[in-house]
Amino acid sequence: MTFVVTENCIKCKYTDCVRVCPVDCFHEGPNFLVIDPERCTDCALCEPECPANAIIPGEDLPAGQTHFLELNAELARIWPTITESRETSPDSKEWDGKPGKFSLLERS
Amino acid sequence: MSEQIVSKRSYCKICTNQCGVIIEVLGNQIVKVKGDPSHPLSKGYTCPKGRALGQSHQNPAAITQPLMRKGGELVPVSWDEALDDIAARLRKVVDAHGPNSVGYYFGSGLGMDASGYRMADTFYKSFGNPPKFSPLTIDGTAKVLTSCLVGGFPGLNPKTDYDNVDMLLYVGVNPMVSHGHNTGMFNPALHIRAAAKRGEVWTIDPLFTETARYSTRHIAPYPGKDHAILAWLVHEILDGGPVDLAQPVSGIEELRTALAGFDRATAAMIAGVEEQELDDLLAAIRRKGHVVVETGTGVTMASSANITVWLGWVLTILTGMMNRERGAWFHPGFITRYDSFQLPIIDNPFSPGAPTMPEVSGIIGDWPCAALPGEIAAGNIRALVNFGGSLIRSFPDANVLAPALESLELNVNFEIIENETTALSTHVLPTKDQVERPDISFWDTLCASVSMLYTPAVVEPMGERRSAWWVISQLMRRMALPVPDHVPADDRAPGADDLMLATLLAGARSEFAEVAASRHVTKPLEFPGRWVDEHIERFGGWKLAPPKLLEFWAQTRRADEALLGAQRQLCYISRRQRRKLNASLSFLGSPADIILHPDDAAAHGIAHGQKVRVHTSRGEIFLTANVSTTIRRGVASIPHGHEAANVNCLTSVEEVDKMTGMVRYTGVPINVEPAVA
Repeated sequence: MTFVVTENCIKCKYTDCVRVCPVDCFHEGPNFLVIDPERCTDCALCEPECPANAIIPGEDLPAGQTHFLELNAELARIWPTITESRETSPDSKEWDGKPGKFSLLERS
Repeated sequence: MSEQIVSKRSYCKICTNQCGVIIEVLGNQIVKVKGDPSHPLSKGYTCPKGRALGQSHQNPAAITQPLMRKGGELVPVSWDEALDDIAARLRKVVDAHGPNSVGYYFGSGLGMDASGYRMADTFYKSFGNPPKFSPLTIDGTAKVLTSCLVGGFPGLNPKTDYDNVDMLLYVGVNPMVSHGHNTGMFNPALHIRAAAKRGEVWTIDPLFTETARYSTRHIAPYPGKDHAILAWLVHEILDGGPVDLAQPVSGIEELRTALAGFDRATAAMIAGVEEQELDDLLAAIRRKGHVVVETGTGVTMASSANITVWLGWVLTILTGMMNRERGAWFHPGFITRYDSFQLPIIDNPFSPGAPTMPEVSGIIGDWPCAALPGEIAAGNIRALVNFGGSLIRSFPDANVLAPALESLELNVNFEIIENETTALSTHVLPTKDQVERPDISFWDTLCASVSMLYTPAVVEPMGERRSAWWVISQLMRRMALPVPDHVPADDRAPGADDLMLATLLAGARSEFAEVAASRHVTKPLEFPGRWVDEHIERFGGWKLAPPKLLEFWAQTRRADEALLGAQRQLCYISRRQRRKLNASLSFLGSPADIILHPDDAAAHGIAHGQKVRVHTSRGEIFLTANVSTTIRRGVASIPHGHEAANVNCLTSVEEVDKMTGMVRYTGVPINVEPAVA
């Protein structure tokens, strides 16, 4: 299985998760991160790092978030790898916890 | 031509797990460290500590030249000057006061340097049997005690069968962060979640740890009171099963008598948990018909360590899980092949202890670390050779230890990064760090497989750093001590480091040449191991009721029952952090925080994020309040070995387990209050 980045990452994108990944499996889009399920070793190191609690084990995805499993796989194939955490954007906190962010996801 | 980044395969030696890593090197600089997905054991996993190898290596406080105290200051000197001076002064102390006036600490710093550690041992033994200290008495003596008293051999160290386990009880252990240390766990989340999916994983810990997060159930007792839960479980299992012995045992009746009348209500009150939780746990064990119990430093650092580890073994043995599938296996060794000869029966781990602590026993040749300041103050120990230990942060009672270390005639410290302990030394000797030397996975029995790893050096040594084996052998030559014939004269000669490693594998399951060529050798594991069953049979079965432990239990039970209903003082538990290992890696920025339950914080007028003064009769530290419901009431959690807030300013050389010399490092009563600005 794999860990999955879910909706609450959108427009937050703290990137704290990136620095702990042993296998560089995070990929970055304009306002969202995803995990490459092919590379993820299921080690769970990233999960507690996410200030937005957006990273969830694939098998524990709540109803309404299950499509993120496929979305992570799909976007990981398109987006470039991110291997270093960076400064958080000032509005990350503002977006944390806002409902209905899925429609704001930018693919490119 | 500009230099290119080169990827080099190696393995991490921060802990005994030893994950495969890929180190990206530019010239002699480490650019990045990541997990090696092609590594046959760790399969890409590394933790944030391992990926900080570059920062450890290129640390701004790195020591790259020998240092010697001159006119009160530590100043850089040549190896010749440092070694000549140490040898002359050590000889003077030994000649004037005898070899026992020099103490030796076998720290983790040199502990992961295979050839250095072996040479340190050779050096030590050339003086006979002088005072010896190691992390054993500040980490956990209860495991070796239990393996001797119950299993008749100190090297029996049960490891959970993670491929098959379906009823696992973690007590005071957080493998998500520690990686099990002597169980050897790569990618712990994968194993814990798989076990919870296959069956059930229960975690007993005052804190809702990372491991509790992935467990089926979590029970949060008072620290150091886990024994009450385990004792009640044993009581019930002896009465109503499941008992399904895999090997012969003795002592069942004595055990039954010792636990007679220990009922659920009493156990729950002592542990500070609900009776229903105990019922649920027993029901889970009965559902599965067995249980394997794993304990960690949360247990071994507590005052009840000896009986808690013992009762964990008893549960595992009674339900037939020792040396059986789904239960626990025993490592047959790679270097010494424990399955190739008749294991001797060694059921007495006790050895002479420190003269200033006559009531405290030594254990397998170690003196209690807590005795060091007293031995120095009494003039018994006049010089110290410290093989890579951060003493001020890892020994108890830092405020007592620091002036004692400062008063030594000679204090030689093998260290590569400046810390409070180097500042008190007379000489600091920087030996090659883990990326500067070739090495093998010397602590073979702590690994999760019957395997041996080899790595060449990844970068050139910084500055004047030399091989630890060479430094020690040079001291020996200068003191006219016999150096083994195979030891080369110069560590800079081609192949000298490898030659030293090769001799360590004499008689091992594979020769050095094979290990070095393939970087990794794994041999099949016989499980269940016949050698274990045969040894236990010769021992007359597992001894479930060793008299010393029954006596310990009786005393603890009396003390616990006498205090029932009494107000308990807030106490602290020691915590490992994800980006720190014991006294090292503070530079990764793990917070110096104290986790407090909201009720305890409110009772002491403390708000989240506020600076808190924590004090005992031994000293004080300042931490940031982390107010959280992840901890039970009445307990606070403080990081172990933090540079900015050394918890050993709170601990005491007087709080020592008399049976084994272990210091009390968890469940220690504290006072807390908001810090005055």
